[in-house]
Amino acid sequence: MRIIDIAIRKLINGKTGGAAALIFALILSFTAFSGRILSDSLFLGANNLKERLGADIAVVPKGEEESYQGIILSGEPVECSIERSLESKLIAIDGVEKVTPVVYLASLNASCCSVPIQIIGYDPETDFVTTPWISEGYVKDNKDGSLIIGYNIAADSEDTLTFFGRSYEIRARLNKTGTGMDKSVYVTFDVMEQLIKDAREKGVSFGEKDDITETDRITDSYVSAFLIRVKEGYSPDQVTGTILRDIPAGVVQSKNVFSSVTEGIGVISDFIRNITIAVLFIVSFVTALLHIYRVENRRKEWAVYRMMGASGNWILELIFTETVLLSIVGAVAGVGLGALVVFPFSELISEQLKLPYLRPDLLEIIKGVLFSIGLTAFSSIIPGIIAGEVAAGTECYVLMREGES
Amino acid sequence: MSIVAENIVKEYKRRGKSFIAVDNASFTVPKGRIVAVTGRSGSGKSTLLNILAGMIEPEKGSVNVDDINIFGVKASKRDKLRAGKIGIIPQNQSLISGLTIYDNIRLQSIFLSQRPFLPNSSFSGMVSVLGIDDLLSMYPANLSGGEMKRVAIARTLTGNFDYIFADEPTGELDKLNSEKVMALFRKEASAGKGVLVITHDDLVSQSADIIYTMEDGRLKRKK
Repeated sequence: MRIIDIAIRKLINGKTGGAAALIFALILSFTAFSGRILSDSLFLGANNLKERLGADIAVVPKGEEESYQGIILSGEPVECSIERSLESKLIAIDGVEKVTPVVYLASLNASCCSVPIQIIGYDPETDFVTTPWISEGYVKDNKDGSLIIGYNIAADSEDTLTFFGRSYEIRARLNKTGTGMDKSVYVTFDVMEQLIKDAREKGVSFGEKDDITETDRITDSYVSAFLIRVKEGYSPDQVTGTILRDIPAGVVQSKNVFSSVTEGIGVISDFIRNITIAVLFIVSFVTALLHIYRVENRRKEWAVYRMMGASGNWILELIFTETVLLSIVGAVAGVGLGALVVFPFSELISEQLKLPYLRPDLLEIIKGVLFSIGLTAFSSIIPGIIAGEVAAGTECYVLMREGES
Repeated sequence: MSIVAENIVKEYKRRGKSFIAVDNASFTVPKGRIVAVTGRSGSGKSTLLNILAGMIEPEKGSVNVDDINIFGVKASKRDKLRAGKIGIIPQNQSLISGLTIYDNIRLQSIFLSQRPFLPNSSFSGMVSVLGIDDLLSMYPANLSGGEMKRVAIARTLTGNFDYIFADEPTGELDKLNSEKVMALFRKEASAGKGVLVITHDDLVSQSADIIYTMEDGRLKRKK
């Protein structure tokens, strides 16, 4: 029989008082694992956001700068419009490489629409933000449909979605971004024209003015925003300055959206790290006390081992093995509990935090599992040694003197 | 070769007053013999056993185990010496909960790595004589006091020690089982081992080769 066999049998069959230590290990592991996955998901979401923003600058109606951030980060519907005629002025600004207009139209939470979401119209002729993500391997099928849907959009049966009483076929689904883009549907301006007209019949608009006739193409007159890519050698700050001076519109720089996101993530990440460190210290301290209590209650058992010829080191090793085993079992349970909380509720967490949130890949999750179990096992080393030293110091005459073992 | 104790004095303090548990006791446990120490409760018998086994240090006197003064060496060496030579059957329950009876018996062998475990036939014979062969897969919590005592005896006997110290080995046993245990001790003595039995039981003491009585810490040879 090896020490580990004895330790396992004792923990399974004997009254060793290990349950409390196991629960504390579970708490530490749960905190470490769910904290790490949460933190990783936020950073991953932020990095993805940086890649997916595509444009350096968004030109929006004055006063709608915050609404634009809401669309990007959480897919919050917005109702605003800006004159399409500004497009030619923007492209003429020194330092502007590309300009593309977008229209944001909110669907209804009513029988006419499958889902209440943000529909984003893009101009295929000038678009450099949406199209690249479709052409880079995100097309799930080759249907000649009208809609490109975000990752979190649930399609109706037969791959269609209905908006304002009309059914549209889905052409492609984008990969998960962990941002508001996952809850959006992308359409070309041609499709958007039809949507806007249907929406107007239902009393919905994206904020366009009423000075347009039934025969006009609405997107020729009004759009929701312009997305701009800055030429190499120019800074977004330079171009922003020119826009604010020459164009009657508001400006949102992608780097500012990103920095406000990373700032928020930094605060949360620091909080998670501090909580984990605090829990680590508390658990180590309490676990040490629990293990000392456990070994004190089993003094006669140590005396029996000593009487049979066990060395102090052997007893220390047994206690240490028990302690580490308890912490590993607790850690595995903590990781399992963490996974049950973090993964099924990731959408809810994302919505509550209003930050980009993207689940890490399997390798990162495995790293998180190993980190949490390793940290929890590490936290049991000192308590294990302290408790082992206490037990190893037991003299065998305790058995003779104290009666029942 | 034997265990020789000379002029042992052990004093305890109880409620601020000191009293002598063992008073100038000299004593020998020769190999090949059964030695019994009898006496009333509290007369100092168990203290004497603990001193002879090197588990309690006396105020005065010496204990030589096969010519080695066990209180003249470091505690760690003393522990090793005891573990290698003396098998102890304590008065009280000494089985490890959570381990089966078989594991409890085998446990002794992991501390005696130099010594092989009993051959299967000897092991089976011994557990059969002690009437615990049906208990091997059970746990200590399911056993009676007498059964636990017999398991503790089996555990010590599997260690193949030079000396066996038994503190009230028949305390919780019926007459038949007591006789079986003494027969096993006799077999051990015949194999050249020294057996020390602390007992209240006249039946047990009468089957010993040498009998001492202990009264108020003083030891007298009776037989």
